[in-house]
Amino acid sequence: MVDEATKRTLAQIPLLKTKAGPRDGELWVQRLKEEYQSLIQYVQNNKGADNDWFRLESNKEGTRWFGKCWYIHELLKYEFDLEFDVPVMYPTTAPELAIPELDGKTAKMYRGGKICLTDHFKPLWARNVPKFGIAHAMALGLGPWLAVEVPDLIQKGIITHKDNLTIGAAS
Amino acid sequence: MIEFESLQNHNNINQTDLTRGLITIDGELESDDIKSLKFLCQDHIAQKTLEKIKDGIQIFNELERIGKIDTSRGEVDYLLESLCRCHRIDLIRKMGFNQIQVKNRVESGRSNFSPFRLLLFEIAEEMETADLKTALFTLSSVIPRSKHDKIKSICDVFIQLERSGDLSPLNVDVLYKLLKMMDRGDLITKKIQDYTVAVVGVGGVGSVAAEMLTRCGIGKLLLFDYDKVELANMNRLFYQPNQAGMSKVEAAERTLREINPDVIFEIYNYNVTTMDNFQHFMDRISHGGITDGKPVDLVLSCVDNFEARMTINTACNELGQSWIESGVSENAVSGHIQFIVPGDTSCFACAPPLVVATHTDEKTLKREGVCAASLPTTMAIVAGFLIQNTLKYLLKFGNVTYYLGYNALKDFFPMMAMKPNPECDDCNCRKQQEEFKKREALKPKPVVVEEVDTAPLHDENPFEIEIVSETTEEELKQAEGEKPQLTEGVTVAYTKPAKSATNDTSATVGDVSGQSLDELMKQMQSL
Repeated sequence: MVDEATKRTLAQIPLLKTKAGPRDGELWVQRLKEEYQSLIQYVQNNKGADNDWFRLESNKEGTRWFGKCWYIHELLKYEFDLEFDVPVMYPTTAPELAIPELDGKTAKMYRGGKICLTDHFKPLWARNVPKFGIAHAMALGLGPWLAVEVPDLIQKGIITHKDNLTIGAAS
Repeated sequence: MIEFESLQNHNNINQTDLTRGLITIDGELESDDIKSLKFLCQDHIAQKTLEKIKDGIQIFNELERIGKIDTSRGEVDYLLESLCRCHRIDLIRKMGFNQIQVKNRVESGRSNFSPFRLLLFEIAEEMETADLKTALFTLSSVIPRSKHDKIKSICDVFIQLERSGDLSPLNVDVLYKLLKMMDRGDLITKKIQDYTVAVVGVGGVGSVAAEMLTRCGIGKLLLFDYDKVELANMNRLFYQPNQAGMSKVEAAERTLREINPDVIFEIYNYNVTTMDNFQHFMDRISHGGITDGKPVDLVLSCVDNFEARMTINTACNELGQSWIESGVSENAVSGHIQFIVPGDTSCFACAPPLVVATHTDEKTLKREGVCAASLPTTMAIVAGFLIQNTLKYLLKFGNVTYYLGYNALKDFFPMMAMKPNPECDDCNCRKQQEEFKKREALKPKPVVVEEVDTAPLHDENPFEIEIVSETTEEELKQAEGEKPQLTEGVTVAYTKPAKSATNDTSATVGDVSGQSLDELMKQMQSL
């Protein structure tokens, strides 16, 4: 289901310990700290491997997340705004990652720009509750989706490169 | 029973007082009351005995004899409920009980009598004496003329029909026919307008389900959906192209109100899975009933994703609310409905989601590049099953189905009932299970499906060829965890590894107690 490279990346993302969602008060704060720690580690790993590909931040409660993700195709950088809510049932149910600007541009997306995770990601998430966190959703959900969809969208001419984006430009 | 007991202890009524009370009310019972009481007791007192009974004392003695009441221990809730149902609340007070408390208990829905008996009793009450002649004429082929002089009321008609086997809890056709012929069709759907149903998700299944309920004359509908009507959804039923762009709940309310203006609507255009809306959603489920402040009678899940189903599951487990889950597979060729009574049956979190096996390569059915297919046929069929089961549950007829699958490719309909998982992840499910064990309630009987062994393709194996698995049986078991017992044709969407399996290669996060959330957020931003 998962290739070797992804397995290696995955092994380096710290697993989470606390099973708590936004309704769980203090326990959620604990979980949120773990989420951040895991995410920070993952971004640092990516940077170290010269494969930095997203930034995320959340509101104070940690229930709403937003940021950017980008994908390099033929030496050009394609950047997208990313957002999602942490559902009340989190972490039993995975976050529904959304790229609103691609809404309506690909069939592999639900309304509001939620990317389709059903086949490649959700069963995996369900098997790993509560150890997987947002970092894992990025690595196993959004990462593979971008890798498949972005080149396809570029090829079809549905998205085009914006001039101000070059590799290495700080975001 | 327990509830009434505590009531009596509170009132401190001893046996002497109780006996005196019974004698007092015996004097006050009129012949009509005796008749009603006798009809209510049909299921418990033998017909022959009932025929001889002429007054209240005889009924009390018989109830005492068969153990339905026990004056020595102060257990008379059976009698209290009977009096309440016969509209002799005044006698409850005369016996020394709190009439309001008794009335509330009876209205709460739990009863000493079968739903069938109560249904007949209520219909008989609604009918007038003039109806009796029409009834006997309509039933002339079923009830012979020779019996006519023994029949003095509609109750007697029912008794006669039950005796001849023409009327039973499983066969109410004659009752429907009778009411139709007597122009009392209003009594058939008499109760439906007293009910409230919440429909979560008014897409391909939910909108059709809501229309069915509207046309049946449901009392109140609560609709939840955050989506808009889109032209791309026009291959489904219900919505019209000119409604494109409107919120689904708003468009649905408009159409449905035109179909049946008597239905009360409450619509909410929001996503139930987010924190902001969940609490409100729970509040409407527990207080949105047609009688102010009462919970809804049933929640129907017509959503299209796992997150929303889990959310409804959590809310219903927390509130002890019965609900029916429905779904159509992504490839549109199978579907299911599942009736969930928290604590009594398997909840949505008790096992991985169930899917109907279609016995084909499902990938070939999906159109290339599209995540989900949809067919108005499958959705309408599932909506039909869903509302059929809803009506059976609300109006108490037939058997309510616990799980019904639909495989469109083979027209195969697996059915089963599943017990809840004692180790369910949802703590409220486990709590409800405990509650359920305490309550005395009917449990669904699982459908036993016999496994049919298929004969081997080749009987001989001269080269002793065998398949050697790369993983041992035990590894496989460990990876798949515990699988629930399922009927043929139904399987789980995915398996969960056994809990003990901790061969993770990754490290876990370190101790976070030393760091504040603000620090972490800042660190993340500065990356």
